[in-house]
Amino acid sequence: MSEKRFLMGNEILALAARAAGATGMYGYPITPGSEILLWWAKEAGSEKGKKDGMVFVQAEDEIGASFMLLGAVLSGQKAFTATAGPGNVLMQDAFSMCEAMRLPVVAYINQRGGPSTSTVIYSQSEVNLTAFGGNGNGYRIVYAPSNLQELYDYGIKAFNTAWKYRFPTFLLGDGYQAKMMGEVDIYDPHERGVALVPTEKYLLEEKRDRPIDQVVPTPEVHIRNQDGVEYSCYRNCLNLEEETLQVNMEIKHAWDKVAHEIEEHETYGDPHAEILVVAFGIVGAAAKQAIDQAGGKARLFRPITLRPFPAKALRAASKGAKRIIVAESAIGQLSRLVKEELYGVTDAPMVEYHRPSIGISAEEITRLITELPEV
Amino acid sequence: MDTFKIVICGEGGQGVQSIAKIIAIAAFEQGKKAVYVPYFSTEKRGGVTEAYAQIGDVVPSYPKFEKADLWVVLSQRAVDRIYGFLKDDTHVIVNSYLVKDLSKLGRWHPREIDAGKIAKEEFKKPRVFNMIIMGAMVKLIPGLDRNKFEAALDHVFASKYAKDPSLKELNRKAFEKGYALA
Repeated sequence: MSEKRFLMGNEILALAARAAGATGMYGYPITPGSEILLWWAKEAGSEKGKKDGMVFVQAEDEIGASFMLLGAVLSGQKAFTATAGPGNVLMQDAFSMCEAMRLPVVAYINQRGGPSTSTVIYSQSEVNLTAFGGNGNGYRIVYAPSNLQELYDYGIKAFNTAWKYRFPTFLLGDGYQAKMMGEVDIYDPHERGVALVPTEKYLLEEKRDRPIDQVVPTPEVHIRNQDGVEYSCYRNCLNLEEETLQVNMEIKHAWDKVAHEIEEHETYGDPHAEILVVAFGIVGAAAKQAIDQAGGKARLFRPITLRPFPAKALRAASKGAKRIIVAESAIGQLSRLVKEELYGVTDAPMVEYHRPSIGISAEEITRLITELPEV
Repeated sequence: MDTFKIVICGEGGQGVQSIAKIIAIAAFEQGKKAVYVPYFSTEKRGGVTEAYAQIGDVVPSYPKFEKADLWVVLSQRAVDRIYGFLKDDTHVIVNSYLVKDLSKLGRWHPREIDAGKIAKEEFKKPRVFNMIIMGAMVKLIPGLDRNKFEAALDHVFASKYAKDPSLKELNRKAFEKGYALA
């Protein structure tokens, strides 16, 4: 049943996880995402929550919470966490382990000011950490929604993507999206034809519930047969350089096969407009308003997945652009991704509008579009 | 209708967030599009707090803006804090109980509402302060029906009214008082 409701972003995310079939939430409260935990705690304690086997654990800190999540996923539970800022830093150890073991965890991140504790309010400065955290050679998926409806849609999708491809999957929101309230369409994904990807027990030497060839993608997992029983072996600790190289390359190969299926982006505005604005998340929403206000002078490219980054689509969008404006509430995190992908592709000058930890209004972007001297 | 932009600022604990949130919810309940975002930080009391709401037929996804159509200050230091949101035709409401210096606001002809005094002296309940302010605000927001708005308030406060039925009448009267004063 679909229902229009007036909700806060954090409530929408909690409802999305519930709609996606998650039963476990392991976390530690931190502004601006604490209401996700609050909602989950209440729901898990309700009669319906108990009947559905819902679990909520507030751990001693984010390190504990993230490893509990990992354990829950190994045992076959569809589970998630939610954090922000310094909590996101602390969870990177567990997320890196998920990359090594190809474990499908979901984390909802709502960016706040940084570095360190800074403010609880808002930023877009957790792109580097969320997309590339961990101690290297890991792969992960990062969705960046731009409005309350997308919090719900991608909040559900994150679970399907994680369990389908077995890479840790993040929904990267921010303090504005977490705390704002507005209208959202809450629906049962089954009624929209969205099937939920089932979970799998990943415990070392646990007998599988279904044949390994039905788990996609599978070949990178070491399968051992013993006495006619099939075991899947997950390791995050390796002995040899050669072995490590092999595992790293297997994970990379698995990523390269599927990354193009995962990439998403949105374009907006007149495709012939000479100014290309690149922005993501809530700043992408402001940029859309600006493009409407600027009357045909500019168009938008909004990466929905920050990793894998929609590079081909960005390169195509850069064709015909006489100026590229990158706007972000951080110092050069989105810009760096854009420059890496556009290197050697375009001669258009790039204007980098970096406003760390403060919102960027539609009016500001409109001025960037209309008040810069002609190229 | 064009999107109508509201900014309200006051001391933490005065109900700044509740006022903006309730207006947005009530607008949604009468079929308008609405979005609300708090300016939240670590303070609850002792700090200045701001809230933003937008109401209209189509409401943008970005929750903030630079210039407001309705500008409400509940304390003196809030004046400077959100001064930059004023434009030529902004409607201005001040809680004159705490905002005494109007020297910067003359050209906007502020509607001075002594909500603190009215709440204490006329209603004997300081808590209805923000209902008086809300009543004044709703009068200035185009496209909102007063009766439907009051019905939405009954819904928003349903659980409080169930515990204390006398509150409903009190809130309504305070709301209507503010409405009449604006």
